[in-house]
Amino acid sequence: MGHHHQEFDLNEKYTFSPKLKQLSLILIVVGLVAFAAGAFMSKDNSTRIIADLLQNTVFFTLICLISVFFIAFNYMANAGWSVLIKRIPEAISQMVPIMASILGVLMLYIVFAKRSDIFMWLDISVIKNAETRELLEAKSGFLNVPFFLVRIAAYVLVWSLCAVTLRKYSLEEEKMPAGSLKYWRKSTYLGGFFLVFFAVTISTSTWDWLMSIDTKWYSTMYGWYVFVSALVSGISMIMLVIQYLRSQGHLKNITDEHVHDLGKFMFAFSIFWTYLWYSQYMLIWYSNNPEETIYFRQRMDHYKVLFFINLILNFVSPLLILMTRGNKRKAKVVVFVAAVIILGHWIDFYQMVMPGTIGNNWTIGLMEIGLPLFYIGLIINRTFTQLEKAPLVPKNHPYLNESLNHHV
Amino acid sequence: MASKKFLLGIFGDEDILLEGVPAIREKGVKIYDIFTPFPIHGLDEVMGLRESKLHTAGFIYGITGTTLAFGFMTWANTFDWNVNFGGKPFWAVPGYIPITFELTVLLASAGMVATFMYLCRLAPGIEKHIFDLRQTDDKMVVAIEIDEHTDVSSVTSILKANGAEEVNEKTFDDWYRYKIM
Repeated sequence: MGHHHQEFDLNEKYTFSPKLKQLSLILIVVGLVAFAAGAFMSKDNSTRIIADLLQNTVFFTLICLISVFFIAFNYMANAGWSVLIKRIPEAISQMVPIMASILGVLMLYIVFAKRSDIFMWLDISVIKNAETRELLEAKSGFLNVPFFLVRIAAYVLVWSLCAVTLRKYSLEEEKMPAGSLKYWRKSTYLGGFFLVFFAVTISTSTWDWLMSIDTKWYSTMYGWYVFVSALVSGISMIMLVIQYLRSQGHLKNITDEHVHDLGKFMFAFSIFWTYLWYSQYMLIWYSNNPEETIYFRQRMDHYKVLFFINLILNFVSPLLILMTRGNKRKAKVVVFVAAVIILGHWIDFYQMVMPGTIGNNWTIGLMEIGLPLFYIGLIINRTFTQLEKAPLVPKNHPYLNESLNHHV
Repeated sequence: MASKKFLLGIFGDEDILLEGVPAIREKGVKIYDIFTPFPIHGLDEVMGLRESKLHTAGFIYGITGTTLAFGFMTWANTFDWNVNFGGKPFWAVPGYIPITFELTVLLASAGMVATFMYLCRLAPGIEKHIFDLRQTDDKMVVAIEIDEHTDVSSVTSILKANGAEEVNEKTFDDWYRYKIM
């Protein structure tokens, strides 16, 4: 649009508001205390504690990682509209090294303590059923401890390095003279590398951490399905941060147009998630092989409420609420849907982890509520501390002007 | 034979047009339509056009497709003619979803195209009103309908003052006749 006489404030800075900082610290403390209390109360059932840690750590690692993916695909697509919101995924992405390290430590524990209650393949020798044993031995070319550790190390290192380096390039770009394309080029190359690495590892990592829980079962849709689950939650999280900043009077250059585009992502990827969820479900329902249907049988019999809530929160609500153009542009509506989506996909992850670990008797207690609060507090704290460190507008990005004048 | 007369402001630059249109409307001049060789972002807003209702129509077509597909399969498989497919229940909802989805998309898209073509009077062979041949080349044409109350000279000067390169008059002798070739 012809904003030719409009003045843009390109030097906008953010300072972490004490109130929000306090809230993040409260969330961290309350979450930790609740988790510890919950863990203490179920200390006889350590499977539940590890499963809870596994579910939440994987979930929050992946949705932070989506921010790196977001930056990378916008570089690769030569996208201009997203330049003004770039600082937000950048700030969230700085959580990746922390989350990935926590995850690494957790995995080391699971592997070295031989927690075959989590990953059955960790200890084949104790399995009595000959058929199961044969099956797991056939899979041991991929699911064996040394290779598993190598993969974990690769994910943690490369993902973290890419997140940190993309951020570093972006901050270096600030210091360059106007019109310099050096760091833009570097970021594009690194983004390209990350996308290739991510494309493979987002599948393999979900096989490792989630699908291998139900070791005997497998699905070729699984990697994609978990990826999109994380993608739509990650974009919702970016949306929540943007809307919070806007409600505090920041990000004045970001208009309804940018929000509308992010809203389209939330809408479209919710549909795409449903497509993958359904494709996986229908093929198994249709072919009706007992060793495959057991996965859904267990979830539909014993996790019935969550099974259907999952579809309502993640499919029906974004579909109906975000369908109209007007709703994608209303701050309150998109914030509500973003929160619903994150909750919904948390439930989705809960269902991926729990039936194969703790079995059919599940309860949402202090522990299950405490740990997400802890991670959310951590993410808020880290994200907004990072936002402080750089101006909110990447003023040397070559596509800045396109983003300033973005119009859907 | 209903004839219609228009005053045409010819613009050569989309930025001048985007600034000119609100100024022209502020003077109380009612713009009939604007013809441009390429889409101009934000023009609909400055013209004060309401949001298109085409997607509401699309939603209704879509819902019709959903209901038709799902309803028919339910009726055929559970009430009219039960066939046992691989031991699945007669009312096998997961199996209905692909067809329901396809029919939803088909009806929504085909219906929207048809509605769009009807609303815009578009079809192969229909003669359109051409205001100025250059509207498909390099000029933007702001059309203002002239009736007996229009002060042609004042509208002309308003157009010129707000960036029109030239102002022409155009008369269509038989506006409502759509000549089919």
